Amino acid sequence: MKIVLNGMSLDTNQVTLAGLLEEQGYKDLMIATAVEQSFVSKDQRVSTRLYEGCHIDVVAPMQGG
Amino acid sequence: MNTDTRSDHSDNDDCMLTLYGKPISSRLLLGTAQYPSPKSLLNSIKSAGTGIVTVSVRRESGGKQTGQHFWELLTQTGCRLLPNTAGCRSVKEAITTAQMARELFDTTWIKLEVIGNDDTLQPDVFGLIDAAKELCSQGFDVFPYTTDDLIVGEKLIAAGCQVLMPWGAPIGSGRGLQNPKALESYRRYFADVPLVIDAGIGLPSHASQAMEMGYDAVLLNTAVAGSGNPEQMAHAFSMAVHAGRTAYLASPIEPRDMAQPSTPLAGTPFWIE
Repeated sequence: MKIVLNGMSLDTNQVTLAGLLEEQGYKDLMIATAVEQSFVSKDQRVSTRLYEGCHIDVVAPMQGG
Repeated sequence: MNTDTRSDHSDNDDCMLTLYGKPISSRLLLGTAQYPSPKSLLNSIKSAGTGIVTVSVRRESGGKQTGQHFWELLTQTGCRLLPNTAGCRSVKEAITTAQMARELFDTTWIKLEVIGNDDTLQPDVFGLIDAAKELCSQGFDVFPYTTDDLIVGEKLIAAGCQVLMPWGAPIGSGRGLQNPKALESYRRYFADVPLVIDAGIGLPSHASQAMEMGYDAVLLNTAVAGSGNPEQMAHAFSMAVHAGRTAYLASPIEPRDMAQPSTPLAGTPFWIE
């Protein structure tokens, strides 16, 4: 299935957000997530199903003013 | 609301600033962006003596771990974190970013920015009020980056904000307090509300001016990080904020249009009435 992760299109066989994050090397990292611009909490990642063309954002701490 | 905020303070003893129930040790809030190096950032925070630093969230790829390194740096500062929604241009973006920041940084504090114009980075105050309402209802402690408009300030208070952060000038411009008369009115009008000047500060004298007006704190980033010596500039700002606050508490004289001799006239030689 094709999805969009942080603005980049990619193919994945994963069906949940948690699975995708592990596949893409985010396991154990300090991150937060959103699907279609809606927040998905850490607890919800396992039950959040991916679908064709869905947009996922993964963010981490960054410098800010 | 038109009362003198000095009435809360004794002549020589500065009261500790409290924001959303948390006592704040320093009235200088510092941004963490644009420093020449991580070491420069750490030294500047230390030199400023600040207790609150602003942070943000940005997309990260699984392999890079840039954010993880920054997080490790933050933990060394011991500062309270104030995450922002910088770059958000809609209510939905701001709300989702705030929710992600709350989970990431484990804080209900959020510096709410809803930007309305790319050239001036002026707040979209309509979106700001809508986003503030929603976030306050979700239990966030909202620090709204706003203009010096009194009505917008009223609506932010009504939305649940307990702190207001009017801009001094456009973000990163370093132009200082562009509309000092309006900011004086803002201070008088919101006498009981903690007010922080956020954005546009370029020099320590600008920060001091804000504090002399009775503002409770200033928040700045570029003025320190973009200077030739951030650590030294951070120290200069620290002293300026302290000087301005101390002067405010000492009740400065009122300006006059005409001269008034400071040396007593009585006994002046050669004086003839």
